[in-house]
Amino acid sequence: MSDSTHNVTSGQTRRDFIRSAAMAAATAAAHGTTSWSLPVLADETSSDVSWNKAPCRFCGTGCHVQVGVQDGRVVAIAGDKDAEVNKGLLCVKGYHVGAVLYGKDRLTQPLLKRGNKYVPISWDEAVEVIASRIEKAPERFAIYGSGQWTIPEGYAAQKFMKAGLANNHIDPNARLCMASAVTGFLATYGVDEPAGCYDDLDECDVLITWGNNPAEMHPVLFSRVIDRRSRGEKVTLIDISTRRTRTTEQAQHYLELKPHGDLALANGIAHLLLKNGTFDREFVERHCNFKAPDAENPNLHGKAISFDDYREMLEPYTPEYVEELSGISADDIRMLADLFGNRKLRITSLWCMGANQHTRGTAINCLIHGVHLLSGHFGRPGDAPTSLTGQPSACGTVREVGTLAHALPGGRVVMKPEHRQEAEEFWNVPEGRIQATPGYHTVKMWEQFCTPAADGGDIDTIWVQVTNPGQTLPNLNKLFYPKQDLSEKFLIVSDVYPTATTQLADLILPSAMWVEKNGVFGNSERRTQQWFKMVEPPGDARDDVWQTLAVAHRLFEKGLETMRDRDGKFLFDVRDEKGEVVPVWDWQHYYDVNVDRHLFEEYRQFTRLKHKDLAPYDEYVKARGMRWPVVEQEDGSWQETKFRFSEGLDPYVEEGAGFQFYHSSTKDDRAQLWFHPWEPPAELPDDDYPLMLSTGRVLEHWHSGSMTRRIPELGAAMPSAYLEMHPEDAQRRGIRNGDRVTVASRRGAIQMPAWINGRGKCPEGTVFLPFFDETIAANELTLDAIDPFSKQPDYKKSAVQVTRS
Amino acid sequence: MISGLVINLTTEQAIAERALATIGEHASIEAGELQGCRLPVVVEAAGTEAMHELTDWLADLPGVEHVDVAFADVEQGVAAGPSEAERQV
Repeated sequence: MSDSTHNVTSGQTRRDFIRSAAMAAATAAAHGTTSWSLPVLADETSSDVSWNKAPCRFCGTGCHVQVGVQDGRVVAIAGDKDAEVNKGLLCVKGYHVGAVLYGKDRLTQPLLKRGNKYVPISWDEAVEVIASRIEKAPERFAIYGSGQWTIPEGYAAQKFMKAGLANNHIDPNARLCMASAVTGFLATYGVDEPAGCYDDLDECDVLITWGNNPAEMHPVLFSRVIDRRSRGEKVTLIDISTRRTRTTEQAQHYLELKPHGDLALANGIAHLLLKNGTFDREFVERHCNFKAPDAENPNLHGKAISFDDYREMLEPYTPEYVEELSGISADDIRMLADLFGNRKLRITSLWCMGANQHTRGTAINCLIHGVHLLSGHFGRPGDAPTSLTGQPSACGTVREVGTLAHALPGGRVVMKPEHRQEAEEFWNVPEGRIQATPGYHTVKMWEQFCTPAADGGDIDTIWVQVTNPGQTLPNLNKLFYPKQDLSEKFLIVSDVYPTATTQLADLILPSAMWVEKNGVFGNSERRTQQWFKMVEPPGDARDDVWQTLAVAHRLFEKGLETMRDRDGKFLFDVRDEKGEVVPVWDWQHYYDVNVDRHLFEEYRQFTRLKHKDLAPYDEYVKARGMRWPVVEQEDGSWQETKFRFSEGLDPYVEEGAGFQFYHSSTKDDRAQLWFHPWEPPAELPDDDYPLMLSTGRVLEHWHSGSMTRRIPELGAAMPSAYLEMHPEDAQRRGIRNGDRVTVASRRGAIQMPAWINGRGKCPEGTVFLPFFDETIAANELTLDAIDPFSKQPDYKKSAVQVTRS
Repeated sequence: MISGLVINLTTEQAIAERALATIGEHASIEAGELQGCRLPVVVEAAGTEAMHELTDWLADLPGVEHVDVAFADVEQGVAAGPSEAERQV
């Protein structure tokens, strides 16, 4: 930033300029429109600025921004008034997203570790290092990717691994944030992703947040509800949470939950719906089956039970018993049951990490769906159980492209022969190329990588793309740090900035980011969003797709047979309009064609099986995203789908069906209504570790902070992590506000300042620690216990002790 | 430090008017034109902590339902990720 007296435009001081920009931003937001643009990066703007659309780089909401570019540099960001998701509004991170490109320590050249130093090498050398490493032992190689991968990036990595190396060891960081949402949808509806969409927020009478803080994590979505209330509409907000947050401030009801109390609460609501006779008998009889876990043969689809079995299993969950388990008063449980029992109301449930990062994450996801199904609060606009995602393409790339160790594109899985066969057809690779055994899920992959080969650690090389596991994996002392003492292990990291992960990397590759490359994301409401490259990446940074194709082609040149298709051609054969091969593995020619378009069109073939139909790439160029299934109309136009499974709203529901769960796991068009018992957390406080730690995010920072901490405004607004404590817990330990404290768990110990009754307010016996700060590694403390079905860890319940440092 | 905020006021007119008057009297707050229940303001404070205090004061004011941040800026201080010294290499 320039100095405060610098002349910006004629006669204006910088302070005047900033004040007028601040007022313009606030006024535009208050209007709910944006004819205005925000000059966040340049002191001067002019009519030479060109504008184009892109989804925001950060969370899973999928707000669209208008990006202003001048002289090859992003100089301005504005909310996109034509975008349905955000209607011109942005949160504080979105307004500053342009600055994320211009941190002063961008990675600009490949770096190879030699001894204790990193030496610059050429891309050609870097590609050779990776290819040689893979060639030696392809089966001991893994890719660890991300919900921040664009759809073409994830698709290229997926095809590279499962078709090109016949290796299923590919998994994303989304395993750590939304895998339990996936298993919840699959177990309930037989197919992943929400039936509803953000329009539910505009229609609901009651919004229930289950362990979710959208006021800070998805602020633009939350503002849709607050805006309705500002206009005089009645929307009842119920916040079910283990701590008070900014969401609580807006809620009419705050229901403070004991850890894992959500399982009991959902059962308590179902118990009362049955007891009071207020469940939707017609909906349940016509559209639901009943399921319970199969103790003898644990699996995602459990065992069938009768309605009477279901009722009997719920019998113990009286309001009084649930109060004991959950901490929520019996009266509040009755209040919730009465709301769900009222069919005149429209009820939307939102959840995110609180329900997903849970050793019974699949169970609580199923139970939330179950409360909606049992009460018939499903399938009308405003009546929806909707999980949110934390990353911009956790849905589009991870869940739809299927960049998981067990998955194939379009909802297929490697265990099913017919799915493998279809994928082999689409990819034109020989039958039997795709392996039937799932690869290692995230926790297992890193455990194997951090185990000496002599002790059975059979992953030798991991290539990390677009994520930061050195900060975000649980139990870092077990799952990441041991790498530094294992010389036979090799870590490759493609990223845009130095991170906790690059600190242990053997090879660092500089990547292009966001509008420095073409991209396609898929947000939390099934909306696929496209953007074009607008500026050049710095130095020698290059696209992640190119990096994957370059390594694939080097292996092809080396004669690795699996990099050929059935016709002997390179697996990523890209042709121009004349049918000539374009050497896209050569950076000089990478942008001769739109590789994203090529990959997207190839991937699009996979999307029909599970009715996740996508439109042609060029349709997304014209739109601010479209929600799948996107179905071609008689006039050649393409129509998105807002609400799935409901007649008249979903084109795949047959006439007269009312509701049709057409991917039902029981093959009868019915959803599965689950019973799961309450179970305690994997770790509970005791005399040695008497406090329960939850980790999470803050408004100003996104994910591990590797981007947002480099944006001056955001870094200054929330410079470092802190431990949020209850005053009584602090007083008992002689801790005052701002004191440095040591937090220790059975896995590690770190220090930080205490913030008593800070932004959020923890109940007595619990503490909260945000994980955005690389210098305060929250995940040295967290537990690596996982949900048995989703394999997702629980970052919300680790027993700790806190002492004044 | 300068911020652009949107203050969402209650629909109860008398209480909202009192809140408007209180906000208008504050020396560090410049109010813009009221848009229905939304008031755009520019707030200037000595630093991050003072800004947080001022924002919290606004949020706690009777008649204020919610405060959105529309713009944040600082005139000094650049965050560029952790320094080498902070890293544990």
